[in-house]
Amino acid sequence: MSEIQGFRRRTGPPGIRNYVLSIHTVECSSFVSQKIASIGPRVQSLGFPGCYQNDYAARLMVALGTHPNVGAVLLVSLGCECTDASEMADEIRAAGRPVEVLRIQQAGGTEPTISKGREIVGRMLAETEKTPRVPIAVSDLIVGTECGGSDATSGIAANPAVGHAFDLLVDSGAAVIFEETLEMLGCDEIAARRTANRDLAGELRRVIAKAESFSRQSPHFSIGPGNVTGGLTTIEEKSMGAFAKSGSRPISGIIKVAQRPPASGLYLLDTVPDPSPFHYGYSNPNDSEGIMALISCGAQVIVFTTGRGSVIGSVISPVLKVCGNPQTYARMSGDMDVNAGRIVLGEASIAQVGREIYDRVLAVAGGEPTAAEVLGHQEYCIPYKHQDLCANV
Amino acid sequence: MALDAIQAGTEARVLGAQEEASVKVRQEIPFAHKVALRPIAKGESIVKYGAPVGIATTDIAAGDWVHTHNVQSVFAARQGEQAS
Repeated sequence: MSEIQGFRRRTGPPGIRNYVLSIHTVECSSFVSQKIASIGPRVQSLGFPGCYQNDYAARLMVALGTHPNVGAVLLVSLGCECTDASEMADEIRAAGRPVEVLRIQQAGGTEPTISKGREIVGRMLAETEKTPRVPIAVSDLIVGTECGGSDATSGIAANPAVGHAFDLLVDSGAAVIFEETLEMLGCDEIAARRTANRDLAGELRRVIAKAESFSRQSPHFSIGPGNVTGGLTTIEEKSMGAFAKSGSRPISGIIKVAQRPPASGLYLLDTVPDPSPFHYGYSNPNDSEGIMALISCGAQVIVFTTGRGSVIGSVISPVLKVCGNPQTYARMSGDMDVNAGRIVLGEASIAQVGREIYDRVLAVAGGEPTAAEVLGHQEYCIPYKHQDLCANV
Repeated sequence: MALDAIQAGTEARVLGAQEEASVKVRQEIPFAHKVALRPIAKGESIVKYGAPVGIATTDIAAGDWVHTHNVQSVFAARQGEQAS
């Protein structure tokens, strides 16, 4: 990889983007936080709407605040919510990121908080401008993948092409993450054979069994009307296609939301809730939530596959969209980065498109914007959830 | 999987088969939907990607459109529900 420059961080891997975050710790402070963030394109706004304490959401926001692509953080609190902004700030500071807290009730309401916030964020922008640049190797990258708006082309075109790109990334020393265990029903044995050892195979079966139990109790399997119109008949058919994103390398480990991959290799991210006093609760409400979970594990780039079509991007990490349906690509090409529909038309091989995705990931890591970045997409989703970090082992 | 929409009555070429193969399509197949390459009896597995991806809920003839009207998920079947 020819000289790609990234942003050095005091702890953790280097970033490929250099954002300042304005994070609201409850819905009541979201408007003020968004107003603060609107002062520049390098400031992004995100947060958690809930007022009562949710460890999962707090852990997720700390992970986002200490992400490689983030240089500094402002926490915007109302002042009376359960989420403890000071505790979050301590954890973000401990990870070497400049962080400040503003409380709207103390600061004097909307306008004083916005002006103080803009002053703080302006200073953070100037400071992060001076972040030292460092050369980035493929082994510095964590890449996540997700699919959304899948149809029957996904499993034969976009997903296996991403799988090929993942193989190339793993072989070059990157850490790559796939998730969507709700779309692994029916592939448990195939996936278990890909694990590095017997303990991990057992853990993987437990994670997929949990996904099945969750689906039964919901009761909803992860297949929607658009999938069915697009030619997918059953969850297990969708699963086989979705699993193709993982490529062919051994699965090195299973992580949970906000946990970084411990080394290079291929990792499965379990985003499904663990049983709690609220039973499972709702999970994985949309694609942006899955992308958020991947980013919380440190992913600096997301590769997103679609067949029906999707327009989303994300805060923090660029989302590179791969479209496997040639008709959708023709209709929505302004939102897409890679045309995997050529595989369906017989114009390109899976390996060719996989190589193209790999090259695009490196280009995006080098600063080239994705279609969603050019369009200004900054979706995010942080729901209430319960996850026990030790539940699978 | 149909790489393009196929009209009923078309003799469709099967790609990726060991030898030259074709199937006479009995109903219109929308783009990317499945067509049965051989007769499938009620209760038999539907195989795609070399793996079972559902169970036939009725006898399916070669050339039939294969979708939610004649296939059920093994998970939904275990739950005693209709396939989605």
